[in-house]
Amino acid sequence: MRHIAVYGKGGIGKSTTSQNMAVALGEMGKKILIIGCDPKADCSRLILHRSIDETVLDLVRDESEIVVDDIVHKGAFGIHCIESGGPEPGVGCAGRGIITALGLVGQLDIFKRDYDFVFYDVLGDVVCGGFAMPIREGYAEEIYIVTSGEFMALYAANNICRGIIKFADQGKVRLGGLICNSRLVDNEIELVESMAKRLNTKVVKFVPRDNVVQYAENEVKTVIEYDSKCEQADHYRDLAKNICNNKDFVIPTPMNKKELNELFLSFQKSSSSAHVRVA
Amino acid sequence: MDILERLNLENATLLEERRKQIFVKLKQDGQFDISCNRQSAAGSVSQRACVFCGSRVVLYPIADALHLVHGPVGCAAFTWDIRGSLSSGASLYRKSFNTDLREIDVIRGGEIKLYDSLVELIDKYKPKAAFVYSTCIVGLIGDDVNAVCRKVEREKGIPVIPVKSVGFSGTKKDGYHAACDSLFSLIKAAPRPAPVQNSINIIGDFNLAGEVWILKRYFERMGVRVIATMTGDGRIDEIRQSPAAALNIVQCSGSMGYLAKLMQGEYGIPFIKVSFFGIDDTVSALRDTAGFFKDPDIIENTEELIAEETARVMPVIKSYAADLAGKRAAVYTGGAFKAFSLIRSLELLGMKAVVAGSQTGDKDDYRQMSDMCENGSIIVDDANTLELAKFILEKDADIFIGGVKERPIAHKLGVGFCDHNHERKIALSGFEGMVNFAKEVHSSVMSPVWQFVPRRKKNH
Repeated sequence: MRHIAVYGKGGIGKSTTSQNMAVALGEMGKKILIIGCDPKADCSRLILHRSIDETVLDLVRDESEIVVDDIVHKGAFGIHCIESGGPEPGVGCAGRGIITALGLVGQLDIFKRDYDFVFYDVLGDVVCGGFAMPIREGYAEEIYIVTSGEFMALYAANNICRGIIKFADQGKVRLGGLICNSRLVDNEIELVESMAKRLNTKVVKFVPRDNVVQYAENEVKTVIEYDSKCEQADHYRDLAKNICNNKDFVIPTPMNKKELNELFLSFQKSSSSAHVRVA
Repeated sequence: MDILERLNLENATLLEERRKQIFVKLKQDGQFDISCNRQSAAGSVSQRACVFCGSRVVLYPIADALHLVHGPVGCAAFTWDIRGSLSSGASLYRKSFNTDLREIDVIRGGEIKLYDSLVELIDKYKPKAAFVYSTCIVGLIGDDVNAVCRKVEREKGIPVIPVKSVGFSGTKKDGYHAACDSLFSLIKAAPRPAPVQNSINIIGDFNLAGEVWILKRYFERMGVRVIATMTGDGRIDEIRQSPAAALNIVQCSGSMGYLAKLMQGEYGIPFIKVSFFGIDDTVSALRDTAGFFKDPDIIENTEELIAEETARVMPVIKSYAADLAGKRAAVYTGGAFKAFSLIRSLELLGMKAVVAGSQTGDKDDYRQMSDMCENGSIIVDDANTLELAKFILEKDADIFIGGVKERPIAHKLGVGFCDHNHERKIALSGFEGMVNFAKEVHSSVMSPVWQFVPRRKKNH
């Protein structure tokens, strides 16, 4: 069983990419479990074709005896989905929510089932200890960071690498690679590949920008379900294949702000727009 | 205005949520029902404690281990020396170490402080092992305590064992459970020792007032070897040798029965539940243990021991019982098992239990408790102070037997008290323990002072 955590800047397309990738793997006959680690509980909409009300933490709040079937929802291609859930914005502690939810999942022996892949889709800003729960011992062993060629996305990816080092040092978790969700930035492929190399990893897949992803989302579906024969569907199948075959797992080597800024600037086309101030 | 008027118990009413947790026995073999094994009702000031407290009281008596509480200083300070566990040697367990998490640590994470504290303490005290307790704060900020413990263990070469004791994550029973898990991981990590003939482990005795030593004397006399005592007068090395035993005897099954089950599952070591409170219980416990080994010498030694001790103590007990006949007692304990022992011991003294309850009993426990009591008795689960006060007065108990939180209730009401708590200074185990118990109960119940208290004055 491969346990894979997906991190990346908020809004970069982690959940979209994870779900599309999962469906491609499901299509290949793999048994998949997606565990959403985000209080918004929106990590499995496209696979279940609806938003769910029964997150793990909803059931904890109701003090009901929690049984596996209450929290595991079944969707397209036989993919299983669990949503941790969490507090409303502005209250409580979402980090502790993730700790409690994942702790429960562990206790319910869900990992004793024979899944081929377990994906942890984690909230963008890893702001406290709780959001690193998926990469603690006993959970994910591989991490993929979703990014684009935009500066803030790369900055976030670099930052996440700094966090990964701590967990890689004391456990088995490693970085598997970057997934680039294109934002049509100048020289995007070369920039992100160069970034990956500097981080001691590689780009596992460059996913082009294509509006079909939005059209599919509008119908609450993944691309493969919306239009199985389109080019974007094949890109996700390619990503799935690359993940399956990936054997390069590393401890990343993040850079400092100055170096990141310089690397980014070196790929920018015109001189007047090549002025990014680092906070 | 005296305390009875101030408490205004005549007008006190039961909290609606608590109704099902109190059972009044109206007749023998009548319908029995009680709700229990649940979170305490908010607003009802329960006598229970949190998960961390549950773990701490189970593990703290391990004398040569380092006990480090990872959290703010309050958790460590209020559990400092929380039990009256005695040690025959090492005293490191009596220091309550703490990582003193403050505001900035809550924000930045406490793992660095935890690591530094462990290193400093292990270098200074060179313990055989270290236990690291998580507290509420640590559970909230998501410190990866397991990872830090693993790291220090690699560096220092001694077991560094995390205890999953986040205060808000359950009830006191979950704390016991976590403590047993931690102990078991310590035991499992060691290479399995060779089995020792005619040997036992004593599980669920915390050596209050030297009670484990009383038991060890009996077993030595019988010819049964004690490998490890968990956790009273506990030693890390002995605990790691515990799988060598042929049998586990479990006294406090509420807190440590789970460990016995784990050891049975992993090593095939059977366990029996025993009690050493009261004559009958002690005799059964010794006979059950001897009976397991089926060794004629052990059995003979055991019968000799029982005969001698019984002959020695029964006359003394009978003389106390003469004065106590017909007196009434209220019994409230942590676990239900002890309540049974107390009710039986009281019977030996000619007394009856009119109120009986516990913090953590389950439905079968309470049914048994109800069967042991007379009609009109009140059985209560997870009581609050006001309920205990009201029931004691209603049933006109002459003595209240309980723990440290129950003592003030008794004395303020002008009712005698016997401390059966984990801080007690007087041994209540075995034959001599029963004599001590009889003496305690007698001196409390028969004290002339009660005729002057408001409760009695009212009735006259």
